Amino acid sequence: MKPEAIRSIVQDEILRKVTKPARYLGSEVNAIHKDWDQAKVKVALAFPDSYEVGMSHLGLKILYHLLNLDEKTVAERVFAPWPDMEEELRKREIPLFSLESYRPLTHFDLVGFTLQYELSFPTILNMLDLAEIPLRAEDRGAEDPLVVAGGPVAFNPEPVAPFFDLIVIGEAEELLPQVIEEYKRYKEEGGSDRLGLLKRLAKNEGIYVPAFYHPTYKEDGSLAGWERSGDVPFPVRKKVIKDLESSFYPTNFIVPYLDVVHDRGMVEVFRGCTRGCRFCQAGMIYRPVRERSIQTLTDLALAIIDATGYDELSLVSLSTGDYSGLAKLVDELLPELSKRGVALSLPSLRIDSFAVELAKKIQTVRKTGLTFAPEAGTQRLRDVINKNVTEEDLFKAAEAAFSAGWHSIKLYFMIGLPTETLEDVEGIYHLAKKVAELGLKIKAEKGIAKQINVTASVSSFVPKAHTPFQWARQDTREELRQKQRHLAQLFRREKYLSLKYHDVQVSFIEAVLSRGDRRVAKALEEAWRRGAKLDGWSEFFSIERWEEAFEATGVDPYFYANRARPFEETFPWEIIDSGIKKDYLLKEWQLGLAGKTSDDCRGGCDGCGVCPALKVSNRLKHR
Amino acid sequence: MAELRLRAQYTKLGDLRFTSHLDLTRVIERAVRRAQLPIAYSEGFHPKPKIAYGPALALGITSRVELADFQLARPTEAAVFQQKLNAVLPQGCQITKVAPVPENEPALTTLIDRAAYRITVDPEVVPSASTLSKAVQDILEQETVIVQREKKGRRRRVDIRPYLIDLVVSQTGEGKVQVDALLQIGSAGATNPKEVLGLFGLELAQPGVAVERTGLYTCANNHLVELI
Ligand code: SF4
Repeated sequence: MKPEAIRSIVQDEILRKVTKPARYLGSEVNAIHKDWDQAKVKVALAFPDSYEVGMSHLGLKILYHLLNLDEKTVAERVFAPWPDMEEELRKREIPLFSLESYRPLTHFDLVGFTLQYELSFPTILNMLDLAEIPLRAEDRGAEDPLVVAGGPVAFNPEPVAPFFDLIVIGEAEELLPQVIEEYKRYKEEGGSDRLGLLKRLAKNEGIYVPAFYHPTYKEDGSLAGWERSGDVPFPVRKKVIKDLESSFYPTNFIVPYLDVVHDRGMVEVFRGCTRGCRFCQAGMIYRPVRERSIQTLTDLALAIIDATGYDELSLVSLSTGDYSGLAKLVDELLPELSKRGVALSLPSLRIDSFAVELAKKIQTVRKTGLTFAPEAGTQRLRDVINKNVTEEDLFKAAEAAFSAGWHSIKLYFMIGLPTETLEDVEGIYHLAKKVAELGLKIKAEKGIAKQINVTASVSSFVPKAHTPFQWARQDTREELRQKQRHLAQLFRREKYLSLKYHDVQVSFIEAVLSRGDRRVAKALEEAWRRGAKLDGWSEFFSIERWEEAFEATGVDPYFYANRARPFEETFPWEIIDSGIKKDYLLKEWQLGLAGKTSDDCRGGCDGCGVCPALKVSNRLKHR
Repeated sequence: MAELRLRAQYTKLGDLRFTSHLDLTRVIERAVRRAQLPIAYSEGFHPKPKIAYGPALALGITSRVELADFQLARPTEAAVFQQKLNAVLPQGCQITKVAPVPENEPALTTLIDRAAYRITVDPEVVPSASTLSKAVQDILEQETVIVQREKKGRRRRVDIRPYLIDLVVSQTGEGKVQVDALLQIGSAGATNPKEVLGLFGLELAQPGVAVERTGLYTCANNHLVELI
């Protein structure tokens, strides 16, 4: 279908009928509309969720602007249409199209999906289907685009491996331009030897071509290993940016018409995290820490405001409170931003009074709720997970917060962590209660009229690949439900406490998909055939569809989610080398089980192996 | 002459018609910041730029007559204001006129109590003007025109006859039928194009039906007064 035809049908007939039509316009301020015919390589950057979620994702924005820097490359965006829009498109047989030029995805050379969370997998299949691209890589030919994946969830690529021609492992800013260069060469050579292109690509660090690796299984159902076709690397090692300071960062971000989830300017302060929380996948796979300097960050921040007109700027990273020059950065930025009527926000603060001091400072511009993440209810369990935070730290932070005038505090916890006992679960309640009591005391002393509220937000632990907890089992759904019920009973009588918890069914599917091997792909495809899509949205998620899909395909979900894995087992994700040694993860797992903590490697290397393997090091700019 | 309070007339055309009123206010506020114009901010925890908009325009309707008042921190010339803002505003939202406003003038939403709309219908939807002319005649001859309104799940019957100030039907050269509707809006009672379309059995989201706002006025002694 011609882009002009799609545009006129969509704009004249469809957009006034669907919810939030501004999702589908592509004409936002700073969107890039390039001359299609001048370009050698056309890339569709696809995000398998709604516009509002996708447009809040920093990685996608960085790639969009980076790829478009190259004159010979066109990069356009595509998001999952909301079901009402999907219905209108399917009714008229309009294929999924890009926002900028309204071109069907089949007109592109590459379609790249960001894998941010496992629950988005069915949406990927749905988008491929809407785009009329064959779902499985083996069914695609020279005429079809290369379907590419990247992002954190690609660190266990196996459950989605059959659907992708290639998967980039690590930081896509380093990887995608390389893929594009190879693609240009392929086109110059006639653009027909797709297999040859894939073979060449597979030789590059950070590129996984699933078709060249064939998993084999043991009798007990566990993975034996991979047979390889041809001379391809094993395992596939992640690729990282060595120096973030000199790497590309955009300032002319697209400004959505709609109120998206994170509707603000974002400056990435650093990448990586070295705190070593044993449950945290991001903390492991994004190592080491690489910071930008205060000067660079200030320049970027102001340039972003000038180019977008946003009224809020956020300093983002995995734990912004750990930035080595944070106090100075805030002092430099605040007056400049206030002058422009712009608020500063600091997500992911640490649990200490310094953090509250900072929060107090920035509230001169805007007042937001305060959130802390102790993750577990008792000191014993916090030591197991290596969350190096004491009750004392939390009370000090809470005291500072209440004294500074906050009256509502949110605490993040997990249930189902390894070694957890009933006492640990109840610890969540006790901790929340003590914080609330502290608040009530301070409120009485200061004569504050506002009602104190402490919310415990409790998620269910999913043992993730490439973490020290990868050997752990997930609690069964019944175990998790019991813990939730127990908490609900404790919280019920409390006037100043609220409790929020997640659907155990969703956490269960997340565990299957994140711990699965390639055999899980057929269950995933079946779930999509039965209607699964946008499963990150509770209104669309249905456990029945998944149960039926497991049943129909003979995939045992408990084998993946609820089975403790022996030390000698080969994991599906060992096809990927994050740079971290398995020995190190094992040591951390054992330390965890023994309730012993480890230090942040900023103070001294813990020997995880990333730095020597990738020839990088922690780069702190201000000490 | 540099001024501290400026009124701007602007368009909501093209893609912008698919944005809500709230979206549009964000588009304008961000443009003001990009243009680095000296806008004044409100006091308090959430400083907001002091921009007061005219009555909201429903999603799907175009306009060339939208209005907003801008309070400035430093005196600024109308022409400079217009030129700087247009340079950074998206295509469909362009300022067509800027004029000073007296400091003590009430808010636009208080002043404005009449809005004119032009409804244009393709021949596939309504073949000739006479069908609609008849309907309009019937409506205007009635003493009451009852419509159903729903608010928070509660249904209410409202007589909109007093708010239908005038309806005029005509035919364009291309064979399309047009209805020019002058409606009362504001706090003293209001109707809107959606309800008017409903009287003809038409819908705002229907292909072949286009609605544009063509005027915003204040009514003084039975005369329509423009606000810019
Ligand atoms: S190699 Fe050492 S310094 Fe580098 S990330 Fe691992 S523990 Fe930290």
